[in-house]
Amino acid sequence: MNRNGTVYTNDNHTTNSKNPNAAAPALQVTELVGGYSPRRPVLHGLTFDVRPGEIVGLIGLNGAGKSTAIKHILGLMQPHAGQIQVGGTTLDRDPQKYRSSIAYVPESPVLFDELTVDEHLRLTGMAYGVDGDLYTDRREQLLDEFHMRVKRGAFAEHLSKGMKQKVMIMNALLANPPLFIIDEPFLGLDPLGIRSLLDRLVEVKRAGAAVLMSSHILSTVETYCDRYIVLHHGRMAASGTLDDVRKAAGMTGGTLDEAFFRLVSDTAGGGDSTHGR
Amino acid sequence: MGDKIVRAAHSPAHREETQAPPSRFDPLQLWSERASGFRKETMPYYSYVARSGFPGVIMLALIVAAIGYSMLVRDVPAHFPFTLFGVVLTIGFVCWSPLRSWLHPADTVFLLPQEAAMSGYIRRSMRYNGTAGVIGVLASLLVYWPMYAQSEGQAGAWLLLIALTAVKAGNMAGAWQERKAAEAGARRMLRIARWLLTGLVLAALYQLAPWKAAVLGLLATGLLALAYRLPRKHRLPWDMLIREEVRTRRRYYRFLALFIDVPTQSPRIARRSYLSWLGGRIRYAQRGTYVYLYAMTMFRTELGGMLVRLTLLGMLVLYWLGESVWLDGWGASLIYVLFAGIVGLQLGALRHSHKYAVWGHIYPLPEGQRVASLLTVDRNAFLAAALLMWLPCGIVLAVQSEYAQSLAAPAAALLYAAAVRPGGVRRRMAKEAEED
Repeated sequence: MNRNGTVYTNDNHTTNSKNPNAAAPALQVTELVGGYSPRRPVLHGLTFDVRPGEIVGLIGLNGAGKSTAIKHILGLMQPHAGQIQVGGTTLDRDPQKYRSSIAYVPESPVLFDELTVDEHLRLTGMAYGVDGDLYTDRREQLLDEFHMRVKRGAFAEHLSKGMKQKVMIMNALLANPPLFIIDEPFLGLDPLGIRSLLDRLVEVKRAGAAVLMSSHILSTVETYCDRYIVLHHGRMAASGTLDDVRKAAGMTGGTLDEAFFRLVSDTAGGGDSTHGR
Repeated sequence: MGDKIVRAAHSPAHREETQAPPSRFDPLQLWSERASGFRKETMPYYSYVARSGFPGVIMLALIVAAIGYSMLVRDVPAHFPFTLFGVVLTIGFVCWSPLRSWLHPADTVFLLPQEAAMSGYIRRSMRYNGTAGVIGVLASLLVYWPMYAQSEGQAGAWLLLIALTAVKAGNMAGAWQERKAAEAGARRMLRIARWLLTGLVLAALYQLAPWKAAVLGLLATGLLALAYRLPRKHRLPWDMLIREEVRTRRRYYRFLALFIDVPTQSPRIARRSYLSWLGGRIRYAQRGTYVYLYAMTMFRTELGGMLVRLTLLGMLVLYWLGESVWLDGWGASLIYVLFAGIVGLQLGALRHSHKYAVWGHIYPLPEGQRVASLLTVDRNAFLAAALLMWLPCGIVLAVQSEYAQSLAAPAAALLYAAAVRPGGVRRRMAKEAEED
């Protein structure tokens, strides 16, 4: 219950953030094979981890399997093979701990029609067991930070796409779990919203949380992420630091964008599949 | 915004409607396809309506109303307000002019470039709703006729018939102009003006010499025609028509949902602060998550409105029965069973909410908490409605020293809510979960 209040405050995480690589991974995906139909898997043997105190960028073309991978991590889809561990446990072993370790920002906002912005925050606070006082503080801070104070009493129907997205992000930040899973968060967000989100992601990362973020905005991904996972046709075309991705693309310099382009343009001969698994 | 869409969507303009090779865009064919599409979509549900006994109830109600009305006609009280009666009876049929356009949101992309070709399409809608509207007006006139014949009205049947058809046509044209008005305020003002002026013209028609009514009608038409020139207007009110279409479809499906599970349309939400403050009183704790969600859902969706109306109606009816000590005071209890039963039936719909919500899988809450919370909300809501409903009746019965009659019904409701109802709801949920 007070887990969110005590364990994941800044103080407790400073030890982690000094040496993130030493900590146990917040998310460990091992040899994941998955998809909607067992006969036609979409994901082919993904293995990666996200450690406390880092932001990992999940990138790939439309249909590369990013959203499917995320659905598997959330437990919305069952793996055909392989294992997913969050906070050292699987969904089957300890669903309660698994779920309370994850906050999710979906690609397209999913709000309750009958709840206002404020009430969504309250519901999330209740669901994640955020302590009462802490909830009030965080709520007020988030309303200001995302400029949603005037809209706090509005229903989803009267919010723009970007505002709905903000509500989703605010809910995730309110829950403040050890692992954030964020699917294409910048779509529809205004420039101030994007900046607030990125600032907060850096903040939660410094506090020791792990973030898995999928996005097509590669320049932003390059700036903010510590490591990258490049998905192509459901396989990992590359993973690791920018250098690792460049290496996989057969480059020695250049931006993430250039490396990504070489990895995924099948005809250009860049997609060196031997680097995939 | 519209401008950009037009250009962006110019090439695939009517790909969805026409088969390759590209032929000319035919709005009338599109209209027919969509109208028959809607018929095909809803037709299967009507067999459930037919089987439900609902048509029988409606027939019965009509027969009872007809008998009551014929008695009133045969023995009209002195100083009966013939004209007012006629206006109230007919004005809804004359003024209310809905329009089925079958338009949906994607049309602002794919049909917008064809805006110029859409006039035939809209005319078709006008004819469709106009025919139904005129039939409605004539039916209301038919009902009014036996009354009118006894009043001082001077117009003959044919004259009234033609005049009302003309007024209806004017109202349809007016309603179209209102739809085109860009601002909601202007639309509302124009609509109020139209209803008021139509009411006056109808009154004149039913009471004054026909030529006087005709002059008044022309004056009103001129006045409205001038008023309709004032607001800023859309060439074709796409958003307005799409919203109207959504509302109409929702009405159809809400009606059908009374008889059979239908694909859910997004629910209509009302703030209902007078109820929803109760949600804020639910203790802020992890255990209460779903209690909070279900309570808010109940307060804010149609269900809440229905329960409030039902409770108020029950209070009134039971109060009357209690006060008259019908059947030694037991009559109220009898009717109470009926009312409480309907409340329970309506409340049962709550279990369909949030069944498939993605957050149900994401939230770190124990399995089974959703069902337990639903039962809590269901029980409390049932008890609140049932006890409130009985309160006035119970008090008047107690005042008249009918203590047993006053206390038996609420005791039975308590027992039912505590011991019988939760098990039933739980069983139904388990069964539905299995079927899914």
